[in-house]
Amino acid sequence: MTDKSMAKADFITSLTLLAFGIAIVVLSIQMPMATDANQSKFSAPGIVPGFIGAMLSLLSFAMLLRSIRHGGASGLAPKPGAVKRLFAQETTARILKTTGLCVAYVLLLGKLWFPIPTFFFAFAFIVLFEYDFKSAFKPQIRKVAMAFAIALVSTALVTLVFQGLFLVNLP
Amino acid sequence: MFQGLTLFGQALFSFMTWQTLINAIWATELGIIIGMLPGLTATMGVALLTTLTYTLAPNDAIMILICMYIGAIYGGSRSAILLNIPGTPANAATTLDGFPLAKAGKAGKAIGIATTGSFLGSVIGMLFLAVFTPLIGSVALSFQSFEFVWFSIFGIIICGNLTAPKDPLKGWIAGFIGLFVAMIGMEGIHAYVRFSFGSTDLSGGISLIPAMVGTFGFAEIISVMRYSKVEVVNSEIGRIVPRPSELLKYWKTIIRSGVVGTFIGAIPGVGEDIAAWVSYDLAKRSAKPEERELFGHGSVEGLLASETGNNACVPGAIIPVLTLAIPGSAPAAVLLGAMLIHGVRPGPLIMLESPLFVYQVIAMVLIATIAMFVLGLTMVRPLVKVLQVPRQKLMPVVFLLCVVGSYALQSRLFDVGVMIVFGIIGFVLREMEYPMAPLVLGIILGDILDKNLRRALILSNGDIGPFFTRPICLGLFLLTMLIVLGRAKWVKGLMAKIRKPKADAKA
Repeated sequence: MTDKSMAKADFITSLTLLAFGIAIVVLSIQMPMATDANQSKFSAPGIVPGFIGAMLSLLSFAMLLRSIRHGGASGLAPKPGAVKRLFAQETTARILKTTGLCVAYVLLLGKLWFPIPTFFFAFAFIVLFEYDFKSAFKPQIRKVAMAFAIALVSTALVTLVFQGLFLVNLP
Repeated sequence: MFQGLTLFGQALFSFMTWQTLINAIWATELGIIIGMLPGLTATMGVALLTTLTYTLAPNDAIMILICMYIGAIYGGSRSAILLNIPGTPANAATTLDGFPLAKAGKAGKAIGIATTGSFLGSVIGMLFLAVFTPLIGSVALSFQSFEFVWFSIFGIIICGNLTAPKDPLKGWIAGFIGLFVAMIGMEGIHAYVRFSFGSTDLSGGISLIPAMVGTFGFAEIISVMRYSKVEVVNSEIGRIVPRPSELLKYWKTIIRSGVVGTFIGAIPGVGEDIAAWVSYDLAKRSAKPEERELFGHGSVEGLLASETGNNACVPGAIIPVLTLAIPGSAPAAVLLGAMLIHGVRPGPLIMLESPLFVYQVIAMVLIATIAMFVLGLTMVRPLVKVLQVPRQKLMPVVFLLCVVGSYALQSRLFDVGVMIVFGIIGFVLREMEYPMAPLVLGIILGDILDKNLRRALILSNGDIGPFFTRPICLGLFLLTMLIVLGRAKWVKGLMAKIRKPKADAKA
């Protein structure tokens, strides 16, 4: 990130964190006082979260002021085509592919028998990152076969080791 | 003194079984492999093994985790030397001189120096662990809630300061976010459920292990998969075992780095990467002019300093775990969690309740260090092949371990969700240069802060005076203020103005 874009990111983050800190303080104040239960008022459950919320607000406010000083508050609207360019970058695509695959796999857990989503996740992950979808299938058979083998072995090992050896009741 | 030696001998003798030694060998070797693979960190390795070993006896499990920890911190030097990519953040300083040595055809020598440095660093750290744990333990017995409140705040502040040297504000924010995460769920005094918003899962709180596997595991997987290729450099591996004269020449550097590494390890949450950088910097400053010029271009002294420093940090980081139940580094935080899972209660009472355990941990460190040294010098060539495994084949398997590891402890799919959420948040925060170590330290220290702050206020009937008048509290308060004000620009400007007239007057 450049200094300018970092200042913008800091501006947005500090505003979010400031709101978050204030929300923690408000929720902490709303917590019951310990005196309701004939206990010392200093044992109230909201004291420490309130302190943390106040500190978080204070630190976020300091960052907000600094980011404004560094020009983070100006030109917040993205330049035309910036979002499109961001999504066209290879690194963004790879981040989204990785996150998407992992999240999809986790969402399937508990809904299907554990080895099924596990095998398909491992297989899809390797194929998606190794297979060249623009080239012909035939010269890439080895890649697909290798992905199949790794997915099969890793699924079998994870299932057997955790279920059989460590007695984990897999989802 | 003699009682300590007897307990140590007793502990060491109890580990002299085939089963324990085989456990030590495989765990250390696995640690070396995890450490050497860029993207897999010591924290992740210890966290994953915690979930794998929770059915074992406490001593076996803790031994395996310590072997993994020591192995992984050392293992990172392999990829630092051969690929110019630190296997773990702790080995970043190793790349500066390790890789130039490998490029110059001295990869074997560099690996030998790194292994020996790591071994000596661990031994120095272990000696400090043996001497200082009982001492600090007896001093810590006099600590009350007031001191623990300051330890929690000081831990967050110094950890944030050192892990985000460019922008400590972000380190402190990360630390306070971690403290907040620890507030979620049922609190320990009135059993009141905080910030759960009606969710039964949230009322149980956010567990440390899934949160750590997310921030250090899943976030790392996303980071690693972002780029398509790593260039593997095929370096010649020649003679590995270093000559004694090469080591004797740098005995001062070894001792200095060992002491500095251990000391930094004992500071809450700071960790091995800082230990390596500080050791490297000090070695560079005190090197002879002709050696100093070699730093960054293949200096044996530089390599020795960073590797001695980072491995000395490991036993150092265990000192506060045992005596104060406050982790010295991120992997030590998981180790602390594992001890609690296995029913060990680290903290000021440990020297009264289970003194043998302290010496067992020292014996575990010794066994792990020896295993690391032997495996480090003997299994070089086969392990280089592991570095050539493409990341797209490795990472799905690592993710499967992250998922099952998060799930295994409590058999809750909610924990897998926590891992995913923390992974994504961790990745985004890291992109914006927020360090993750203070966040994790905050999750650990949150409970200590919560109980002790309220307990202290009850004891003093709301008077905050004792927080500033008790000697240790005053010391910690002044140190905290020094760290915070020392980073403030207006204070720096003020100091410069004060210094300037003095300099002018002298002139």
